[in-house]
Amino acid sequence: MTSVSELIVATIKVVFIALLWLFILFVAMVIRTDMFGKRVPAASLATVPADRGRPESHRLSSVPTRFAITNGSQQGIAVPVQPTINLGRSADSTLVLEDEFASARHAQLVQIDQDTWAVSDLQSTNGTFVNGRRVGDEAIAATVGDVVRIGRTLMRLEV
Amino acid sequence: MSVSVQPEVSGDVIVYRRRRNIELALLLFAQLFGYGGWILTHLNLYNAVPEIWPLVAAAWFGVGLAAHIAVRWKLPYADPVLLPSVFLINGLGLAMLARLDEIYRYSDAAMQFVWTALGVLLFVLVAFLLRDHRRLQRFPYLLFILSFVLLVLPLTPLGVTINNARIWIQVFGFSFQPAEIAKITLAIAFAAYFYEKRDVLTLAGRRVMGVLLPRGRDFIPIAIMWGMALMVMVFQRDLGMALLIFGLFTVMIYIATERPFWPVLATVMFLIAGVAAYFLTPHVSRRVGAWLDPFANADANLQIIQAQFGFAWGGLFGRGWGMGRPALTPLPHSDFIAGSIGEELGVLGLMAVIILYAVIFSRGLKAALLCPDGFGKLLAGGLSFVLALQVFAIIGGVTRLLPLTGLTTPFMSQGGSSMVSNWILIGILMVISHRARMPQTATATPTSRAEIEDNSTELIAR
Repeated sequence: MTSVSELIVATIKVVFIALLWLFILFVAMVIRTDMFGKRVPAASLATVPADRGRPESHRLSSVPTRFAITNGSQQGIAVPVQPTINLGRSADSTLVLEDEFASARHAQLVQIDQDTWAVSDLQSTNGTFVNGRRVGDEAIAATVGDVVRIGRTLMRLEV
Repeated sequence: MSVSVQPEVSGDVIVYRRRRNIELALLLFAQLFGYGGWILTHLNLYNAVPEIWPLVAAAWFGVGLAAHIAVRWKLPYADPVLLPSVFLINGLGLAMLARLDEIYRYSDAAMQFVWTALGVLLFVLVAFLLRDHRRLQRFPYLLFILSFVLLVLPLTPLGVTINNARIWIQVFGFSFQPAEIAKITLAIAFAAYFYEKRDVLTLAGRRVMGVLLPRGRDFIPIAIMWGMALMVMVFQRDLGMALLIFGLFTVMIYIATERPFWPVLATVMFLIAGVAAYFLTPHVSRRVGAWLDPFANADANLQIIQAQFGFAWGGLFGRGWGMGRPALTPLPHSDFIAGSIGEELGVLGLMAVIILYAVIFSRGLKAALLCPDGFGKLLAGGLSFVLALQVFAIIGGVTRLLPLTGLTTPFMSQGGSSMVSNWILIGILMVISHRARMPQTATATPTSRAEIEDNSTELIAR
């Protein structure tokens, strides 16, 4: 009788440890299938509109209130709008970019009227793009919703 | 700038799946081990299932479910294997404490369960309140001062000396180990500080014999940290915490600067301090003696000797729950819980536990690699490293790979401060992992209205 119960105890003990290792195997499988995400077109992802989903009644007008980074390593960072917004890696910029493709003094936004800023490139190495168009010698006007790109960083004026 | 080709912002992005259902399945499986260990202990000892089994099941799985719901709600993109791995280790620890209660007739396990529930509550609070880890970046100096105060607190009249180490404070009858919290605040402070100073530390300085020496003023922080670690080692006789703090500092400065100079210098400095402590203080030389030649003084080194006998008695598969004699080793529920696990679950069980710690560590590093911002990278790297170093130091000490240091085994040892702070640590790792894995365009701006009002004129980070 004792030998039978000993056998049961020994079996349960081995099964317990086997299950522990089975758990580790499952974890390894989950990690393996999780290794490299999934490639999907950016358009299929839900995006937050530049007016940030405010109800119509609360929307004052199309006057921008802030200049925000919407994509890149500094995503979510924003500065309140100013007549002149300097962009670049140097510490005295209005919005300090941490993007290896940005120059020290990369681009400048100057207010033209209430809701429009002119984006000019300050002879940067890698260029500035507004809605995919490269900013040349002439400044390009941007307003709420227009996407400014410097290197891997996307920015826009937001209400 | 060596890179001259600018990347195209392509129409495709990489997204990670949420995988919350897989997490739930793994979590329930993981929680079964702690619960099963407790049931098996009673079956093996008394041939009966304890009467309170439905209550324990409800409480234990309830805590797990609460954590899962919080993650599903607030951190849907967080890593799916972190939480189950932690719950498995935590459950095994609780079951082992309940098993030791059967010998000592204490109720350690019940108290420890309360601490676990509190830890999970704090984990949930971190998930709810800390929606973006970059918020932690704002006050490095304040956190430095806070960490320093926490480290010094046991030396004030509040502190008490237990087992020849002065690392606890006693408030209203509760004893607490403030250094466990300091571990986290220091990691945040280092991450914020080094992220700010990484260029200075990497680029400024003189080149001497092919090695770039940082400027003198950049040496000052490392000197202060060295002094703090030394202070902990000498005045509080806590070798383990000194190793932990100094290791954390070294790894974070190495991750920030990528210069091998720092770990080399830190190792040399730690060796100097260690050798000095060996010759000047009695407790360090005693620990080293117990490590190299325990039988030279078998009475004083009883603990480590008994632990080795326990491992031998456990063998490959262990004695089974409740069938070993872990209480022959002094402190089987705190410092030597790894020895108790080794005796009753065997080397295979202990290896499984160590691998689960390695899983937690590797998923923390994965979060650091995926994280888009440098501060998050540093913080995730530092937090996972400090957890791994702690496991290495204590399990290495118990198995006589290293001199024994009085550290806690994360999520297993009996003790509230360690449990609570490690749950907070996992919470921060999960937040970073969530931010790192979520698809970027979906998070372009804050979602709730209140948040918009709060942040509209704010610079989150520079």
